[in-house]
Amino acid sequence: VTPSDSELIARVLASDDRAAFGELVQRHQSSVRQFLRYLTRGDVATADDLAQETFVHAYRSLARFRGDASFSTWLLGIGRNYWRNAQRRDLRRDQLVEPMRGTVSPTATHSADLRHDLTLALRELTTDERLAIHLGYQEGKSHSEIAALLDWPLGTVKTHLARAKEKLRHLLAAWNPQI
Amino acid sequence: MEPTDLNPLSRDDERLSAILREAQPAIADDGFSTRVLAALPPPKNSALPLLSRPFACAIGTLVGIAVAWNHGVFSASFTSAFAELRASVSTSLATNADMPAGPGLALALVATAASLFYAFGFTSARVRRP
Repeated sequence: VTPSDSELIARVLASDDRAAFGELVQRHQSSVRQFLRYLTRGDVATADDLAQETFVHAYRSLARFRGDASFSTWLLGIGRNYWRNAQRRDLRRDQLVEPMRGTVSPTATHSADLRHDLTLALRELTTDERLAIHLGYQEGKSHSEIAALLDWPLGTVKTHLARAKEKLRHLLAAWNPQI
Repeated sequence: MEPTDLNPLSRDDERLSAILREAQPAIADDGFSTRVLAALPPPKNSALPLLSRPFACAIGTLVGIAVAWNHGVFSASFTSAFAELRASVSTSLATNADMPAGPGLALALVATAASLFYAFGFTSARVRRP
């Protein structure tokens, strides 16, 4: 039986079980790294550095995790704080990778093409819209979780999601006209 | 009132989710977890305190004595030579207590003091936990 996050956390806290923490890292690394890649606008190296700092911080402060939110949401919150601190340290980072403007091919048919088209489509969104879409549709976070995670009012979350969906509906119409 | 936390997915939302997940698969670990574990602080209750410098010095001393013993350093001839050296040093110190007896002795004293300071000087403050 696969242990739950709570069980793994309890093992880490009780006996400093590194293997249990390693399991937690493996479970959530993709989510945290993906989230930070969005925040850093695709700066993979910076995102991974921040993700590593995020997990080390999580380990150090695991006793303060109260379970009010899910463990993954808690991790993303730490990651966002590290990203903010990094931005303050280096304001230029936000300008390193400017979103590319591109057109979406309506005739693409393969998965790689879908990935390519989606990448281009996501670049048409604002950073906030991308974040909202990522957290809401890829991470499955609720509106209130997104609001808490990004310090946005609930209405702002809904607005960003609605705008993002409308843009994607148009940009990805060739893939699924019903979206 | 519209529920905000339940976030019910419509069919459109499900399609969008499916497309997003298909187009952006999970990031492979590729050693990331290993790097994170390597970056964690050392375990609290490990044997590391035993490997502190005083302990390492004591082990080194014992090993050195054992090796010396094995090579016959503590034979009668060596013991007598050592006694002569000790007498010579004592005489030098007694006759000229204010000054070391030559640069060799001064160097030896400085090296000894430095070694002791290195071994024990910072250890207690460094090991102490908040």
